[in-house]
Amino acid sequence: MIDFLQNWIYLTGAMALVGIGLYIVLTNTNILRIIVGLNIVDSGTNLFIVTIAWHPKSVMPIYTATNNLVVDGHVVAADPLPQSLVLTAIVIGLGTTALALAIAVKIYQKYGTLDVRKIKEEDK
Amino acid sequence: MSSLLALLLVPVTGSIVAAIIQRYRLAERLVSFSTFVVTLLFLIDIRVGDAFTWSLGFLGKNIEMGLQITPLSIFMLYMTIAFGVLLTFFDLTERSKMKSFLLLLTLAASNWIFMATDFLSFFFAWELMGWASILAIFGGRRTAESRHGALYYAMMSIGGSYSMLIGIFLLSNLTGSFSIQQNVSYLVSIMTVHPWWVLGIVSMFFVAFMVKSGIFPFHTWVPYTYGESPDGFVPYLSSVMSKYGIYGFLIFLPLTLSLRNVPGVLGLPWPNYTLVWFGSITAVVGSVLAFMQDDVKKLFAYSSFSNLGFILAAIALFTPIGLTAGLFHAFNHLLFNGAIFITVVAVISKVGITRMSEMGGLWQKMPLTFLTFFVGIASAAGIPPFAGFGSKWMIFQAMISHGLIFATVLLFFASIASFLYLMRAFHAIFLGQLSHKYDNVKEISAIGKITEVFLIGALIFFGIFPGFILDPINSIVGSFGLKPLPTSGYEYINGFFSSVNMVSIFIVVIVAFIFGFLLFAVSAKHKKVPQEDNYTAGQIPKDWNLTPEMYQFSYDFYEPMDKEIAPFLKIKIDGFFKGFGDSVEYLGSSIKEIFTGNVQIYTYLAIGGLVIFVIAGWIVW
Amino acid sequence: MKTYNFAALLVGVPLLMAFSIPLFGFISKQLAKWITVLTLTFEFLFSLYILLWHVYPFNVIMGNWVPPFGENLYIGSLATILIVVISFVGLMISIYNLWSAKYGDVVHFALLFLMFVGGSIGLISTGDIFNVFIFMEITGISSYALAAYGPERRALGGAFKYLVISSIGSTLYLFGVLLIYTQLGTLNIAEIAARISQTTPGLLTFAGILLVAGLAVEAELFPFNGWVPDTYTGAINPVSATLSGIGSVGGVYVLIRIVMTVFGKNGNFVSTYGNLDLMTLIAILGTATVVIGELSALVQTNIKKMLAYSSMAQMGLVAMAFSIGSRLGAYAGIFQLINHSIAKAMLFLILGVIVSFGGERVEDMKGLWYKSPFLAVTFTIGALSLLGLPLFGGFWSKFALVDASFQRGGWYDFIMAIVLFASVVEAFYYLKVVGYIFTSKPAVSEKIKVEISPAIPIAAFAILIIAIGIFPQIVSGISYSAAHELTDKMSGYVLNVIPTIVGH
Repeated sequence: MIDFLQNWIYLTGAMALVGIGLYIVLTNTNILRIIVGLNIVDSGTNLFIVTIAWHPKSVMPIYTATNNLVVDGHVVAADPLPQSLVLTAIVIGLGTTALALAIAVKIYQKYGTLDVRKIKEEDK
Repeated sequence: MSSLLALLLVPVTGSIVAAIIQRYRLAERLVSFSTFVVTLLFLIDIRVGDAFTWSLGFLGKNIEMGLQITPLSIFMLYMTIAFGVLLTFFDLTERSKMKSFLLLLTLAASNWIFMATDFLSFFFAWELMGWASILAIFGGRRTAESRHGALYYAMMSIGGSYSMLIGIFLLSNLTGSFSIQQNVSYLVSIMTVHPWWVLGIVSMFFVAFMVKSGIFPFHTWVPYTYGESPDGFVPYLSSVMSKYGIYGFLIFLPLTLSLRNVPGVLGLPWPNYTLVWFGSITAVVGSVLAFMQDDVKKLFAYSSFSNLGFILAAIALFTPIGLTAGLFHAFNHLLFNGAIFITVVAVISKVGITRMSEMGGLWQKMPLTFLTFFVGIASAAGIPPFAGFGSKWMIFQAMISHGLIFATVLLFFASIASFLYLMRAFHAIFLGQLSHKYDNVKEISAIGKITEVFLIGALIFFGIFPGFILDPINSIVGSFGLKPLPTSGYEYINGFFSSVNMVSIFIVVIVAFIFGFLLFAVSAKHKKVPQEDNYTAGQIPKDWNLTPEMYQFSYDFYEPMDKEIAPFLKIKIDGFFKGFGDSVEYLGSSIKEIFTGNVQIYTYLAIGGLVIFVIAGWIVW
Repeated sequence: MKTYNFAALLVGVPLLMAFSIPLFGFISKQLAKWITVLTLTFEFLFSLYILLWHVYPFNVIMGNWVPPFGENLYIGSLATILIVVISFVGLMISIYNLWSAKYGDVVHFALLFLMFVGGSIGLISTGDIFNVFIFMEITGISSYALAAYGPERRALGGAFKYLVISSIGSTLYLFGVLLIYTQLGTLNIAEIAARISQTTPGLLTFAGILLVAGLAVEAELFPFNGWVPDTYTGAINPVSATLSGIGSVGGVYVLIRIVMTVFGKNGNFVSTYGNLDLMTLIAILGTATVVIGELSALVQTNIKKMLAYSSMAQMGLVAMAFSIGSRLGAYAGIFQLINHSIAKAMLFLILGVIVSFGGERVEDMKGLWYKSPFLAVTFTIGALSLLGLPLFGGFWSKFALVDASFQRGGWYDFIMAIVLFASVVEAFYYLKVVGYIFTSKPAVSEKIKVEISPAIPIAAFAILIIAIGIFPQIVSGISYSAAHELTDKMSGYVLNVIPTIVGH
């Protein structure tokens, strides 16, 4: 376990990115901007993931002669697992974005607009 | 293989067969008839005390379910199945869109209701009966109206059964069992400690029973539904299905025996007293609303639940005479209501309309139907020697014996009002002049005639020899731990104050009838005139906006009286239910607006919900 | 700890076949469709084998990395029954697709469908909280694409709305997972479940709310279910059937697994660790969903939209059943989930056949009885089962649900009264449609000819509904033992995955 709150600057950055992304999703009516917003939320999440793996005093998690993973009974190695998680999350985010853009193109072809307020059907 | 199980499986099998061959109406109706007959044959083999149990792996335990025959259930079974045989026989030539397989499913459910020993199967059967009858009503003559009628019924019925469901679980959580007997005896044991619990739980059940029997204030669906159901089904609906509620009341009424020593009103425990009032009010409301109807099916729908009010008032007393009177009236109601509805259906199938003011003079065309109808309404009015007399007489005896003067006055009033509406129907349909458009109307088919003769016979037979019904009723009364009324021969009715010999009454009535007929025969000859033969003093009827229908003398039959009671009709319970439905619909159309189709609104909702929960979490911290 | 690594095929085969479908598609488009049918037949038979020969509960462990170190699949009684249901519904829909998938790119449609089913099975069987996220995204991405499939433009709108809400939801879920990870340093569900009491309550509560909010999107709980009406209406009918018959099962399963197994604190009634009882939260969400769903469905004139709202309401009912927290409540929830999955999938499939002959307004159902008695009867069976009427499966689950909530007592009596009122509303709109089917003469007296390939799944669903209605034991026994897995997390789940675990 890593006391990840020490990385407050990165955490603030991650939270800010998520907030900015949500703000974009909530305030912009253009589909493309909404997709960008979602993408920013994803970036915030990814930043959060890598942040919790590391803090300023941690060392690389590989045992060598000069690299002490345990100092004063505390593990100081960075956590390698989140790095692999973030890879997955990035790939998934990419897939979602690609699909969203494809749908956006189709929407523009069929509805003739990219305004989310106009993408709805009246009850017929 | 128990023959109790056969009472369930035979109708279900018949129902499946009927569903498969429903394209061929006659074959379908034949299956329906023969299923009822076979069920009746199985029933003959069944005696009081027969039982059958099985267990069902459900709710994580093995739930004991069972069927059992009590005197009451065998009485009910005979009543419903025998009537069903007659009705399905009549239906062989009936041409409405009724689906026989639903009738047979209803039969299976009904047999199950009367035999169930646990609330799980009771509720199962109750709901099965509910949906089968709802679907059956969809086959009515007028599509939109029958849909409306069926939905109204469905709402009330499902609301009622959910109320019962709550009652079942409130009860079974206290006892840990679904067995009806155990639960009722548990209620008896806590009766003196927690009377309000018992009242609350039992009321949840009573709502369902009141809905099914059409007891005030849940009577509003009855006219809509009876009025619009398929012609072949409505006799079953009104004669048989209304009795399920009565059976339900009789499950819980024995509870009041333990209250006999507690001071109540006029020597009656107050729950009985309240129910008597519900019954009496129902009787009055039904009768008063009935005589204003011009639609013949609606008229008899009101009449039907008015009679259920009589029955409830009598059984609610839960004294030997009250119970006897109520069950006896239930039996008579089955017969005369069946006779009335079957003849009404016969007439409707011939003339094609239900408005009485457009009928008239049909006795010339359908004499046997006329006679059956006459016997039916004479029984309904309680005229000796027909079947309805004895039970009404006993009901009044039972009421007066408890000094329930006001309720008795109400019932008397309802009884008189029932004379009025029966007269109206009688006159409007059969008497008066025949309209020319009915010149080609014929008497119903031979099958219909046989049914009608049988009904006349039954109404007279059970009118003169009530003992044949009172005997089994006495054993029911005994099975509830009450002392049965004394019996003294099949032709006697023993009341609280006196007893009546129906044979001598029959002889008196016959003599009086012959005398009257002689007077009619020797008096001046009558002349038949067509409907338009009227004095118009040289004016043209069309100038007064007169139409041929208005010549029918039953047009606006009770106009003066309608005006008298019109102010009271503004108090509409119907309006309450409708208003409630409308508000729910309004609520729905407002709530629907949440889902606007704009994804940003949805995102706001989601984020807003999250923020609220997080804040709620913070407050809890 | 029993292992049965062969069962990895349950997840592997559909995903493998899904991505090889384009190869088969080169040969023939029909072959691609048949591959789906064959794969799902394998899934169904295999899961049925696991169920009937009582192979469960077992773990699937890859490369000898025992949990909590490796990623494992855990298939207990709950996962088994749900996989059987999912693969059955999937198989039926794939048979239906032989007929219905005819426009556009049927090969890739088959690919996405198989991927969706495979993802859902993975979602249910995985024992790793991050893998849940991965499988959620697999089902998510395939379902966005499935929802966008079809000739009508509204499919695109629905799919986009689903995508936006769902990706926000999965982000919330991921945040929740990571917050737990920072506390415990593990992603294994069993280990987290055992050590959940060692976390900071404040952070745990925050994580719990994030997880519930994220999963409520898939489980269709208000206020996270805005996508439901538009997506269900927009998608073609087999896709709507897939979403409500398979997707929502997976969504609810994960929600319940996280809340009851991971966060759960065992007692007479399960509650959760943290400051805010998540079970209460779910009870509130569920009840609100039932009421809002039923009331919105009441006024719909578009029958597909009506079914969508009804689907939402039913999921609320399921969530509310689980939130009771007793074994009986979980039992009722599982039972109701299965009944709903079968009945609602059937209704959407029937609607698909009807729509191919006419419109989808409620009025278009008029006189269906005269056009096609088969569809009329099966629609009625499905509707009556959803209403919880006897002879049909829904009766038993609704009965169990009412029983469970009255045994819990307290404010659940009040909730149950609201839910029963909503059920009366539900009865009204379904019976109204049934009334239209049977009473009115159709405007066009053209007969609807149901071909064999849509007829098989519809008939199979109808028979299954009646079979459950008459013999509730089919589902009852396994549901009850599955309920134990949820209400007693240590002996039901954790010790089956990691027998040596200490803590708690």
